[in-house]
Amino acid sequence: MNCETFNDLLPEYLDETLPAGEQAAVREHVLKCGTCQRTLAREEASAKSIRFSFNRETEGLSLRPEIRQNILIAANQPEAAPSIRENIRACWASLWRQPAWAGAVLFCLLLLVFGALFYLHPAKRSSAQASTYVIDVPLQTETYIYRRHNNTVVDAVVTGVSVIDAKLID
Amino acid sequence: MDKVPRVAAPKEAESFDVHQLVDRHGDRLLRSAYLLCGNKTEAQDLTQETLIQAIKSRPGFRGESALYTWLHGILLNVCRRYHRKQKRLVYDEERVLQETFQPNPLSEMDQDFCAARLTAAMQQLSQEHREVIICRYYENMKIEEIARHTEVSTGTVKSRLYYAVRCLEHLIPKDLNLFASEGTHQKGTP
Repeated sequence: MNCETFNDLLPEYLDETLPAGEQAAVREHVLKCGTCQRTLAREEASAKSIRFSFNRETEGLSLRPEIRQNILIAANQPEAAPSIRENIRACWASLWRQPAWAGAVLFCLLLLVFGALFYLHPAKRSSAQASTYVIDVPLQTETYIYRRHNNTVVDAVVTGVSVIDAKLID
Repeated sequence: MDKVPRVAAPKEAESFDVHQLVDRHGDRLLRSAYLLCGNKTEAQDLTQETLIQAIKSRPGFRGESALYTWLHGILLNVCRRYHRKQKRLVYDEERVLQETFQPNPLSEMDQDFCAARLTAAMQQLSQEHREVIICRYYENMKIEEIARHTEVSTGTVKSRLYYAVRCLEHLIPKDLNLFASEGTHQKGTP
């Protein structure tokens, strides 16, 4: 037993809640160590002073008659039915008191979150869109075709031509 | 409504008669509330709220701990809520000076003055540290009981207790000799 261990065990030593062996070891250490004797004496004196001051400060304090009356009136009042909000709060509180249920709820929430993330994943969404484009892209598209002569546009026509045709014309 | 505190060591169930409840535990709860909040008027209100809440949540008491321990747990929750509200209020210094301790200068250096200074110093501690001090030195709970009561580990209780006592030592003027080895209780006390 050293002084550091003594300081750590001091509150339990004063409570006499240490196992018998440890209690005896602390007692032996106190007998040998002057510093710890002073620490123990100081701790006991502080405790006595605080207890004494608290008792002195609160002695004579008692509940006022109107407060007693209010409590008795409240006790005799019929209890109002709990509101929906209170019921939800009570259910939520009771849920968290049971770790298994809390775990199950967390698991379901995680499952929902991961499901949503998987469904909305960009790669999945782009592949779905890509397949749509492959089917829907028309071979013919609206193209602006014009003829030039000496850097002047002579005439133009908007027509449905394939991309390859448009390139050829250009 | 605050949560009903979880109760600890199994003990015999006490009867739950409202009149008995108020007569037997009302004053003791009031005194604890006063040390927790530092204001006699507020302490009356907090005790009223605690007892009404206890009566309403009667089914929550399963008789696994002493009735007073259960009531004290409710009081701690009520006081925590009160202090949270207080923090949100604009600090009215004048009101605080009027309502908190004003030790009588004529009784300076006597035990009443020391007791008043200590209770005033308590109000400068955080709610957690105040709770530990009151459980330990007013309710005379053991470290393990405080840990169960405040739902923290014994290590946390011990460190809070150590810190709180050192803070009080720092806050109380040394000439009052409250934390000297002799202590106030020794000075002319029967």
